Amino acid sequence: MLEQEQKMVEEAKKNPQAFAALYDKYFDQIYRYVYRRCSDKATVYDLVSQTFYDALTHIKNYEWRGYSFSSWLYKIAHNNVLKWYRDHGRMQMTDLEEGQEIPDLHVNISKGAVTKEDKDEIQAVLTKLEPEEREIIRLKFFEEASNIEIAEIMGLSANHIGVKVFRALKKVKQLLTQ
Amino acid sequence: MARPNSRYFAPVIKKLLEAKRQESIVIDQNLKANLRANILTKAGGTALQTGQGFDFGRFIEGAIGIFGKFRYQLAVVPSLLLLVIVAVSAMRMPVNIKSDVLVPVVTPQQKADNTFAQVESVQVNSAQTDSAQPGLKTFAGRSVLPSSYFEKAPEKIQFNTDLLLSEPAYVEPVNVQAPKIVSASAPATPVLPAPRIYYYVPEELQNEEPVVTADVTEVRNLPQVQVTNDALRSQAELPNPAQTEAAQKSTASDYVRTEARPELFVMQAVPARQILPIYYNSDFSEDEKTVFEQDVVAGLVADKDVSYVSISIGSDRVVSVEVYFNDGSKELKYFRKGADSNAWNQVKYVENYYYDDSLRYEPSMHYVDYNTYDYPYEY
Repeated sequence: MLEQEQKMVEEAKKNPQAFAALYDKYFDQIYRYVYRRCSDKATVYDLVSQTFYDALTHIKNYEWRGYSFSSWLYKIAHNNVLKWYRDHGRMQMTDLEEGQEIPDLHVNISKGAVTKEDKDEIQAVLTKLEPEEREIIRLKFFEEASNIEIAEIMGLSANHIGVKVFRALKKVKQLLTQ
Repeated sequence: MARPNSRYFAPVIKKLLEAKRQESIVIDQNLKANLRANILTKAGGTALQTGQGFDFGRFIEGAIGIFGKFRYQLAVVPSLLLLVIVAVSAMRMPVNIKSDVLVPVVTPQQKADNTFAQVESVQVNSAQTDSAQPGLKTFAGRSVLPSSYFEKAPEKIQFNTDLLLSEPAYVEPVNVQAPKIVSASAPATPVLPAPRIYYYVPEELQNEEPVVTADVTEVRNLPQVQVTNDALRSQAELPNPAQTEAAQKSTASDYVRTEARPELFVMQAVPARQILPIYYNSDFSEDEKTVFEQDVVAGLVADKDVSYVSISIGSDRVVSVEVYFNDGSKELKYFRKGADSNAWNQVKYVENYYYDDSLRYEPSMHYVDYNTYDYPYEY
């Protein structure tokens, strides 16, 4: 799987048109990642397009390190979102209700598994976390990234990320039991 | 510590995953396709621009990237360059750092030929430093001598034994030309004042006939020589050697003044005498020098293996006499002319300590008569 992805990256380095395969593969993930942090659709599209454009223009500097190419895309998206919030002076918002109006064709939703109270509860708990803890929870359980990938995205060590995941979960558990 | 995937966190993780599944983020595929087309078109144009011409922005970006990648290696280059510059500068430094160390510049042959080629570690200023030998601070006197001077072997002088019993021991004044310069190409170094030449006759030999003297023909090679001792001059005019002998006994020593440098063969020709350069650093007149040599220097150098004498005048008109011996030792004595007797008296430098009522310490340094007993603060 990773070998195939590495070949795609090497091909994209030689031919920009080959980047289309990587775009198609990771667009949804990056879109959801950005969408969870910035609920405005126009801004989300701007940030996502900027993320892929940056990736395409700097792909020659990318060094394959043995884990998924998506980590690099997440890192670019993470920096773009932070830059956007810094430029616009806004707080990060979490709005899980957004997007429910249009059914997601790519996510298998098991309706009825989680009640609306549960969603509101998770929403409330996430907003009480520190920004870094909230980012780690999102990457770990919503993006399903490994500790190494989270470490690559956030610029920390994998062991440090493990400790932070534990502390964030502990905090979420405490907030949920309150 | 519970692991994040343990049962301890299972309810929390389950709720988080369920919340993710509950998300219904809709992605507009048309927008996605349009974005892809725009990005690739934009990136393709950029790639096309890159292929067609020189992109200065990308060039700068690449240069910065290369510099950032090798910044530590590049930082070594100026450091090494600086070290090389310092090393080269140190190697070309004209001044010997260890200036206080004796610098032997006289070869054994030169030492044998010239007994006056003394090397000293005296403090000399830059003007006195031999410019032909940068870095070497030698005795200033040799700096004016040409190199051929040291290569000159002493001449074997034929002694005229007939003159030994008939002629006095002093050197007859000879009116010859100006001092002959050995080398035609004299160095351009500043010429230091020439020392006075003091001919010393040991006391045990003063009552005897001179043992040997120089041939007149050889003495003619001497530089301009004059007899300054009036007593000797008067005796020299006498034809009778016996009267000359009596005159010699009345004087403690003979002085011959010259404006040239001491010549080695003179000493060899007159072994019963010692040639002693006297260097003056004072404003003494010629008469004062003569009197000082008679009164002071003669007593200091008597029966001693003296190399040369340095005389300088300091504060309070105190004259310091430094007698340098051939074994390297030195003797320093102070003299001051008496107020009424007009004679040279030896003085010493003492430091007295005074304490006032508040026990404040006040030193007082001055010269006193050498026989003054100034216990316990005698210096």
